[in-house]
Amino acid sequence: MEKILLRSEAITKRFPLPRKERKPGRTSLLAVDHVSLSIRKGEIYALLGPNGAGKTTSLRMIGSLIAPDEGSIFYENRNINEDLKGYRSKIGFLTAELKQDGFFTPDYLFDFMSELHGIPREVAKERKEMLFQEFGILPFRDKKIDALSSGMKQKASLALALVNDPELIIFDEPTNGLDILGAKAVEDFLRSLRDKGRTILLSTHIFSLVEKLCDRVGILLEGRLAVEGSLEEVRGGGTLEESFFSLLGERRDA
Amino acid sequence: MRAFLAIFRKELRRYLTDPRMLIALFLPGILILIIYPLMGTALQSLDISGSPEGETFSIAYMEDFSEDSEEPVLLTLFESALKEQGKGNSASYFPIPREDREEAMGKVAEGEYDLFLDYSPSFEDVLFDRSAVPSLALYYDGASEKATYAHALMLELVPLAYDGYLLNQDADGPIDGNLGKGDYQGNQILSFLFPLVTISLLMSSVCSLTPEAIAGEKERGTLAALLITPVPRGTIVWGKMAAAGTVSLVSGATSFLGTFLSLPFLMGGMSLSAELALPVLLIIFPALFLFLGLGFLLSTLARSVKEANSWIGPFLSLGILASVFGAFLDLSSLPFAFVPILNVATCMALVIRSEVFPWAYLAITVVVDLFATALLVFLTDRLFRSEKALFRR
Repeated sequence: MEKILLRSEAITKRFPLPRKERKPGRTSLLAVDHVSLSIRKGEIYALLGPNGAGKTTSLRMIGSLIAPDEGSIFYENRNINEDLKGYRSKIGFLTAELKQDGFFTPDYLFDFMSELHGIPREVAKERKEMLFQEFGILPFRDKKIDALSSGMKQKASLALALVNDPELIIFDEPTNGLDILGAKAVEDFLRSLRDKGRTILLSTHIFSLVEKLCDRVGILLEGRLAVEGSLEEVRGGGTLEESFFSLLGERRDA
Repeated sequence: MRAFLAIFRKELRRYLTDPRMLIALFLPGILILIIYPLMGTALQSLDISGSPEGETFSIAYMEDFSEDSEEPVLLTLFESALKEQGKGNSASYFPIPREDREEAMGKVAEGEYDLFLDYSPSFEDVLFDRSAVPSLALYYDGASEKATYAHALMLELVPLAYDGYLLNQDADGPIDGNLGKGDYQGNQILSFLFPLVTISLLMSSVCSLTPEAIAGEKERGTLAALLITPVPRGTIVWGKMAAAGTVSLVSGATSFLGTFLSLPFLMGGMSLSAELALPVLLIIFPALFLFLGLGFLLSTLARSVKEANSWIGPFLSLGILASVFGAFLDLSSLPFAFVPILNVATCMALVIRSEVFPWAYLAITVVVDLFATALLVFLTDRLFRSEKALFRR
């Protein structure tokens, strides 16, 4: 059995409701409810769920952008809070929430992020050329982010998420905003990352992408992890889509 | 350190390559340098522009003003003053016998004479001998613009013509020599104007920089990209503050230089003495950091640039109000030095106008403002660890 790279233990997150939406006994929204998942080294793990299921909040906690109210996250069996700096240097995080400063060019931002990660300049330079080549960023490397199309921006964001050559890459809806060619490029890229031994956690609602790429799947419904297992286990003999809607129906009936 | 420098450089680059930001930061100082001399020129020309052109003034005077001289000294000066103005004005002079004094006064009321110089007998002889104090009365028609002007001009010339003889009994030199180093009247004006201008400029610099620095990044979603890096959040705050502080210092120095250089043009030669410039700078720098700290704290709390501006704006008004209080109210007792913002304007005013240099007030002000800045930065640093503040929507 492959080594578990990251696991969450009953992570929970509540957000205070705006004053107008508060009612007696209900002052906060339970976004993630005791979610325990585990991601193995070298696999692509997909977190599936409808809007509002808690996918993004879970990824934000795993990405250390926000902290869980309860529960813990372990990376290589070590609580990430024990060495947050070290943990952040090993992960790459790409979400629609993280935007790049439109005033700067992809080239400048790559150098800037490399400095923040403390990567030696020569290594950063080599990595930049390689990633820019791979994502086709070279033609617009010196254009300000503001002047780029959404597809170009997404490519730049992908490259910037990999500036530190992360062991674990967290992607929240990586194909959002991309056209069919862009989405295909991302798909190929995810596959190539896995081939290089990288571990990927992604959230998506595109079943076909999960079926084609992912090794294991977790389905989040109303903040809870309804099921977790290999793609085959979760499919249960049918398609992933059928399995998903069957779980959703059961949850709603309950 | 590497991360701090990277953030510092990036922020600096952002400020210094954004034309809008550059305009907002450096235009005030440049504008002051242009506007103050223009205003000064306009103010100084007001007296002259009020004078009539191509007029002939009719000036009557008592003919027995002296036994030896043919024309009073005062009229010689009046003639010269008209020529200096170069507006084509001239004057006709009418010696009046003492017995016609009442008639001459009647002619003034009727407008035939613009001005009547009513000398006591042998005025100039008595005055120049210093044997007694003679008298001189100036009669004019206050309803007439031309007569009013002639009267005002003559009044200005009287001290030049005769005061030396009245007051300078024992010396040949001028009687109004300022033997001190300061200028009380000028300093009173400066003590109001300088803090007002300086605080407004510092605040406007802070208003340009701070909302964008944090609230702007939150609004655009670019702050989160920094927060997931291994860089400690305190380093992000310090890097941003250091860059904003550097730019503000340069902007503040430009504005200060603009004000310092242009004040003599605005105020007819009066200016902040070089000796006072250093203590004033000593007040300005901690004040600048104080305002920046406040701006950063509010920017961290705000959800958007608009909200940050709406919070920082009132502090700009507060700073201006404090400079007015500092100038007009007596806040020179030491407890007021412990009130940040208020102490900035008051201390500047005291440094400029006090006869005894306010060392204690200055020292307390600098220490209090630096301490308040440290507190604000500490709070901002704490807020950077708060999800509620950073991800508030």
